[in-house]
Amino acid sequence: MSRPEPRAAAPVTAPPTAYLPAAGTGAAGVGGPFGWLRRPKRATRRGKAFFVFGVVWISLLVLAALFADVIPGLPHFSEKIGTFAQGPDFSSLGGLLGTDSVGRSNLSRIIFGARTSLTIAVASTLIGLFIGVVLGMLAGYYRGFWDGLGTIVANALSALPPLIMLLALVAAVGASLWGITVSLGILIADLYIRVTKGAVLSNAQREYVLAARSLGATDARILFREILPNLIPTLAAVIPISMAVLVVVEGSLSFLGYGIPAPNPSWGGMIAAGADVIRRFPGVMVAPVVTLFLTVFSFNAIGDYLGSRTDRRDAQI
Amino acid sequence: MIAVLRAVGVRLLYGIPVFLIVTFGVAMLAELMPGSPGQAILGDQGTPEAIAAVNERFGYNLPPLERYGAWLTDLFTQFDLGTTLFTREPVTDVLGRRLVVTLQLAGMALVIALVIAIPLSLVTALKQGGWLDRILNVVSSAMLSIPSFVSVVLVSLVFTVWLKAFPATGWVPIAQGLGDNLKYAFLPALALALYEAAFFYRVMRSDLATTLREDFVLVARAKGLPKWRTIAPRHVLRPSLTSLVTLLGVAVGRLLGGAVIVEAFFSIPGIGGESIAAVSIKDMNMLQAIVALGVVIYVVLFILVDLAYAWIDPRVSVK
Repeated sequence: MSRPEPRAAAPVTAPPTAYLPAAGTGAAGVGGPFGWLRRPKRATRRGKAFFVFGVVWISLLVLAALFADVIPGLPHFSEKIGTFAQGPDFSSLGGLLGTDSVGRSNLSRIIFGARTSLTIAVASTLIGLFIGVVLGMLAGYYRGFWDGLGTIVANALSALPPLIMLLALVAAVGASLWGITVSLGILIADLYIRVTKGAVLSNAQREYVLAARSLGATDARILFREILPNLIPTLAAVIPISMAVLVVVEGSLSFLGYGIPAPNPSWGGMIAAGADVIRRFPGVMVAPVVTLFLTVFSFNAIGDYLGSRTDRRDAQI
Repeated sequence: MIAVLRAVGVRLLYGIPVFLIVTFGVAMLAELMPGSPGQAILGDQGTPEAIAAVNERFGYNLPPLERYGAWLTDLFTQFDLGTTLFTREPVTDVLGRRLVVTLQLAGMALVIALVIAIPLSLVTALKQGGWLDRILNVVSSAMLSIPSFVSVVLVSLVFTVWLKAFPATGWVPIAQGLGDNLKYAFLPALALALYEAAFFYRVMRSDLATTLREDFVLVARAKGLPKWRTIAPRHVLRPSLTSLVTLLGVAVGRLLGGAVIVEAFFSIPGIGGESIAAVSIKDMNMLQAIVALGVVIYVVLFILVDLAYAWIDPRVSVK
């Protein structure tokens, strides 16, 4: 393989989240579809407060989801604990957030639903991260053929409407946790391809890489031992943002009734069920809506704060 | 002009492999689907011969690769995307009708979002740190965390359940009266616009703040020009529009994609509603066409955005 030469970037026309529904672009900035990644922002005190809140909320959610089976006093998500659409009842853990339109515990369903949402968010992010980092590093370091391939793959993935693709997939092979996770992981990879490629491009010409090369380091060593660690700050800021997007897409899918199949609770499904009885019992959907909002907000806040702490000018595409 | 045409050409060339990869991917996804058009139409009563006959009419008897080749040939030679599964109308006709509806919603949402975002961002950029600035900063970042399937529910709760001001679901085409059409279109458009309004507000607020620190604004102030009447609209607004215009492409793409949820919720006969219907009856011709349309819109949007970028900021040259 040839050494990278400084060369003008190929035309990259595509932003990553064009078809993704809400969330994903937590902050504003200048310059191109990716401006919000490029602009170095100062961490504000409010941003830090939101970040701390986000970390606390996500940690609580993760703990609750992990230990859902052994939390004392938490009823099973399919168990009826009272009449339907009850308000909060502080005498028992299960009734804390009221009951849904069938009489099951909202708290329990939210916690068990968090398993689905968080599993998909984490696993899909890992898949997208893997694809994106490999392709992005090849594209940013070797340019030429790999750059063309990375651009075309990223553009093809961006051009796919994720929700319609997921619906088609569910229609084709049925709804399964792993099918949805893998497809979402592939669909989110365009974001990581672009971000990684941009960061590698700007790092490949830096002194430390030149120094390593003049010492005779192999390409593999330069990519994995020198450049990869320097990608971590950039990627760390993008990961929570992509998790926010994934939680929303998974929620949208469940909202439409094409998500994880029925007995298992999901936030999107709870909101859809609440919307059905909204005229008489608008209270039923308060808990899932607030949970979903806080989760997406937390991921966005964590991503924004990490982005403001690390210099994201690296992320030039 | 030549440079612009060349830039458009290069981007279109980049669009071709993207189009092929995406449509091929969807065609192969269709292979994974259990059943065939014949089974879907005739159900359990169909004899194997009858099913085979229907399949042949849909070209389903060909091997997958040939079927994809035939699809491409039909598309590029006669602009024919096949017929829908049950009604057997040409897919292009149905898609055209649906697209008008979706484009109307997206257009209205865009206008609503801009009408909310631009004046507010001007006011808060000129009064930075004021109470409105601080409130809108928090509100806009919160609104970016409200997914479209939550905003449709909230919008319909406020406007149809509490205020009873708008019809809950349904659609009246423009041809049957603009007033009725707008009455049905407003809520879905508003639900789509909420996220974009917050998004545009943050972009504009940030860019305006940068522009206001420029020397030419200081000169204008020093000349004694009125801040609100002259400087804000004439000096500051245009140089601050760059990111907004660039991000309009992202926003329009997101509006068209977000239409799935909004149209499903409000029972609107647009592209989004159609794609859910197509998925539920496994109408692969329709799905294939919708995805192809999505790719074309995507490529065209980003050509337009690049051109608009150069038009707004003459220092940028298109390559």
